[in-house]
Amino acid sequence: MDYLSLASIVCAAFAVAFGAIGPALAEGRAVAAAMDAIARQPEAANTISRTLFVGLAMIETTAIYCLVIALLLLFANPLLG
Amino acid sequence: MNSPLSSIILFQIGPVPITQAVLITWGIMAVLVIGSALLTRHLALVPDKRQAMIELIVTTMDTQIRETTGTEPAPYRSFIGTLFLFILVANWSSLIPGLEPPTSKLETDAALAVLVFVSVVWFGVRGAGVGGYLRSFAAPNVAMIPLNMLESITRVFSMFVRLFGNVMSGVFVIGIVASLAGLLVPIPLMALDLLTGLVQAYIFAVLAMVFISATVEDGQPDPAPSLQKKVP
Amino acid sequence: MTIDFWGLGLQAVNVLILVWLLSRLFWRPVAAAIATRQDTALTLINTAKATQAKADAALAEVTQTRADISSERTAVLVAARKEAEAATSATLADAQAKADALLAAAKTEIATETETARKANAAQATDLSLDIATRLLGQLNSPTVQAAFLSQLLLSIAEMPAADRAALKTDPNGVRIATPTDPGAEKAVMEKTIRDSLGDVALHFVTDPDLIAGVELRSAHFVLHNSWQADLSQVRKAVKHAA
Repeated sequence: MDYLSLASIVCAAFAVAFGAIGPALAEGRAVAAAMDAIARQPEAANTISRTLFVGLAMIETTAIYCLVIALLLLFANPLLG
Repeated sequence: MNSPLSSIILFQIGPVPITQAVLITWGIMAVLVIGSALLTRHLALVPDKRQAMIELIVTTMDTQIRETTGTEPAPYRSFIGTLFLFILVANWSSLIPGLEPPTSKLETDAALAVLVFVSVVWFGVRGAGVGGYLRSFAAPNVAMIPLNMLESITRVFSMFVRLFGNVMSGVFVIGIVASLAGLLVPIPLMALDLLTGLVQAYIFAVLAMVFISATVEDGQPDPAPSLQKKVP
Repeated sequence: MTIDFWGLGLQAVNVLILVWLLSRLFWRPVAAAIATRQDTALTLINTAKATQAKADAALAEVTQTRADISSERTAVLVAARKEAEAATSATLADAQAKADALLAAAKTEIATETETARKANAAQATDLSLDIATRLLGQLNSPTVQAAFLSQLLLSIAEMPAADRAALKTDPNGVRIATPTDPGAEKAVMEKTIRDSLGDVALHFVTDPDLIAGVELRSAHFVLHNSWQADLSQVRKAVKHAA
């Protein structure tokens, strides 16, 4: 195993690991804000939770991007040929 | 382990390779077409349960489109609704053992994204004319033209990668977990996959609708809609 | 990372076909059904509103008609009552008038009858009194009375106008001297006396008991009354005339 594939594997792991940090924090904030909003306005809970799910999915997309990059590195690394 | 990025070619018709995703898509199409044909067979003035259900689907779709665009839903209903229904059924087809959702393959998602791009052009030209469509790139001012052109590409690419990543990752994770512990353990992940599939289908449809309506509004010769857009 | 463009194209075509098919089979029919129901409901509501308005109008009309009928009925009742009152009063007045007339007629009749009765009574009384007088005078018949009558006759003859005297004399049969009883011996005296005052005429005597008492000269055209009977009939005539 040469260094390039080793670096690819390590970088893939790092990409997923660090790529998950940002969305995790963001989703935490989003959920906290949504909870706050629902506590203030329980009657708007439906709209808020629907918007929350959509927002979470959008945020999650960031982590998914990282996952895609990692998978690219692992399975379809253009440098490895 | 197979690469999630590659497709399995089952057979070839002439030069055309038929992948598993294409075959499953045909199956989904058949199910949807036959199902809707059966459901809409006897539409009465006084609805029974079946008709009430499908009317609920249509009414919900109309409401969503109206809330998103602020216009009448009739021109967009077929495209957006079919997009939503197809992605939803495709995402949930992973529940059937042995099937891989077509949306977990690059080709299907890329095709959907291309369709959205084409539909933006189509609806933009139809709603505002060719000049109006081209003018929509100059919103809010002329300096934004390169950025807008770039954005029109990147946003569909973003949709493509978002849908692909979400569905593929769900399938991939479930595959890994199932290879480690096949019994009962993947069930919560599958439930999450169901939710993700629904939310992604919804997001895809809503984003397509937003892009279309933004293009149509920006293309209108009347500056009032773009002014209104700036207010919030 | 490689993208199979054949697969991409196939999937795009697939989804486009699906869009077309579902648009034909699902979205448009269902939306059309919803629109049809809305239209039908709207039409129904409009029809119902129209029907409601019509019903309201009909109700108002009926109410109006009922009020009209009621007022008409009241008017008819009032008119009938007035008519009845008028008829009653007319009948009453008529009856009153008739009764008055009847009463008046009855009064008149009573008065007439009373008058007639009174007259009859008077006539009866007159007759009775005259009968009494005749009977009494018959008993009073005497030569003295005859003599008084004779002198009375002579006086009458003397006062007689010339025309009457001539009429008395010209009867070819002569003048009859009527007495109640046969004068007998007195005949010659009386003949002589009458001839003295009347002139030369043929005289013959007739007996008439109806005279009661008195002496009368009778010719074909003239009667010189001079007797109780003549007096009584004069009295009767006067009484009858007075009655």
